[in-house]
Amino acid sequence: MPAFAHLQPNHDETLIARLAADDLTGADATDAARLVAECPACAELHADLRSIIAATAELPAPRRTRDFRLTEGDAARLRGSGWRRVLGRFGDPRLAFTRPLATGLVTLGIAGLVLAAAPSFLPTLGASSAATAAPAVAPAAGGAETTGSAGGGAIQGDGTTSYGAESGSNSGPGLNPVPSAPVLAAASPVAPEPSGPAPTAAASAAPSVAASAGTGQLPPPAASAPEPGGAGVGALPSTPILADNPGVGKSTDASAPAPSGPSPLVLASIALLVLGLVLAALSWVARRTT
Amino acid sequence: MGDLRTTATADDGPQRRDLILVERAQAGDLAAFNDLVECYQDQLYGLVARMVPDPDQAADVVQEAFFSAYRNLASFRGGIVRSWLSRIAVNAAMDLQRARKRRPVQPYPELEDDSWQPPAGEDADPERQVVTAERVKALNAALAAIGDDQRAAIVLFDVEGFDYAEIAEMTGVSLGTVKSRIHRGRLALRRGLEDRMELFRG
Repeated sequence: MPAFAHLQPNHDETLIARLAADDLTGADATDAARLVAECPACAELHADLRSIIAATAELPAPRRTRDFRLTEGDAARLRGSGWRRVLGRFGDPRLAFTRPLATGLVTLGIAGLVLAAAPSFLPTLGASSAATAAPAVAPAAGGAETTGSAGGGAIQGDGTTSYGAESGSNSGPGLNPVPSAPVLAAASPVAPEPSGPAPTAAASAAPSVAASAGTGQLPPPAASAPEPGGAGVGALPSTPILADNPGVGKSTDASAPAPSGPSPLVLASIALLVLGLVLAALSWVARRTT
Repeated sequence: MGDLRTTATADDGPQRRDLILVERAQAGDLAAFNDLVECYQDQLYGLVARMVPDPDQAADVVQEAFFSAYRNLASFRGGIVRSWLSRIAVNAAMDLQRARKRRPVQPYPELEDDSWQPPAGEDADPERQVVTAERVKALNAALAAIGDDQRAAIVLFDVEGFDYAEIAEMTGVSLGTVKSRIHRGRLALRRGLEDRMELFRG
C-alpha cells in the first residue's frame, strides 16, 4: 500500500523507486515509465527520489574528531598472545569449512545420543525391562528395597548377558554355569551374604561369586566379602534369569569384567558433540574478532 | 606468503601502494600500517559516522575497526584494501547497531555539530550556502531516522559508491536484499523529508 496519500492505490511506489535507481528492465521498466508519464503523483515521487539520490551523494564528509593511528602500545597489545593468533587462524577464509564441519559434528553427536537413549524411551522395552526386573529381585533378597530392585533391573539388562557369559566359558562341564544368587547362597560355602552394597559394586562382585561358587575357590575379596547391609540386591537379581538360560552362559568368558558406564556409542556421541561445539565456538569468536 | 601486489592492476596506483603497505605491516612495520590508517581514516570515519550518527560512537567504531584490521593483518590474502577496511568498519558499525537494538538507549542526537556542515566556498552565494546547509541538515536527520540496515545500504551505495555486489558481501545479505533496502530506504527518506522537499527541488 502506498505510503503517500496522493499516490494512486494501485501505483507501486517501489516500482518508481526502482526506476529512479535505474534498476528496471523489460516490462517493469515500461510499466514504471508509463506510471511516471501518466500519473502526476508518481512523476513527483520519481523526481523527489532523484533529488534525494543526488543530494545524498553530495553529502559532505563528517570531520573526524580523532587520529586513529596506532601507538606502539596499541600494537603490542593487539599482537597479543598465541591464543589470539590461533583464533585469528580460525577467522582465515581458508578455514571457512570449520563452521559447516562443526554443525555436522554437533548433529552427529546429538543423533548418536538420541539413538543411544532411544531404547529407554520405547514403552515396550521399558515395560519388558520392568517385568524382568521384578522376578529377578524377588528371589535374590527377601528384604530387597525398592531402590535396590530398581538398580538390579537396570543392571540386569546389561549385566545378564556378559555375566552369564563369564561363567560359561571358564567353567567346564562340572562347573555350575549358572551363577544364580539363590543357588549360590544355598550351595556355596563362601558366599553366604545375601545382600550387598551399591548396585555397581554388586554388579562386579556377583560374577566372581558365581565363578568361585562353581570351582569351589574363594573369590576375590571384593566379591567374596560384599558389605553387609543389602547392596548385593543390585547384583543378585540378575542371576536367576541366567539360571533359566544356561545356554547363554556357555558362550562367553568368565574373566571379562562386566560392562559398566556409558556405552561406546554414547561416549563417541559426546565426543563429537563437544568437538563440534568447540569448533563452532572458535569459529564464532574468530569471526567476531575479524 | 605470496606477493600481494600481484593482485593489483598496473594502473591502480592507490591499490598498489596499499598492498605494499599491507605487506610491510604484515612483516611487523607499524609505521606502514599507520600510513594505511592515514590514507583511510577520513573515509572510514565518514562512512561510519553516517551509519552511526553519533560522533563519539562513530569514532570508537573506527578505532576498533583499525584495531581489528591490525589484529587480522595475517588473514588479508589480497584484494582491494579499501574494501577490506570498509568491510571491517561496516561490521563494527553493525555490531554497535545490533547492541543498540538489544539494549535500547537514547535515539541518535540531532546533528547540530558543525562538523556536519558543508565547507563554504569563499565565493559562494550566502543564500545558497544557507539552503545547502539546511538541506544537509535535513537529509542527515532523515538518514538518522530510518532503519539501520537501510541507512547502511544507502550510505554504502549513494555516498561511498560501492556497487550492489560489494555491499552484499560486506553486509552478508543477498543482492536482492541490498537493492530492496536501498529502494525502501530512499522511500523512507522521502517520507521523512516530505515537509522539506522544497529544499531539494530545483
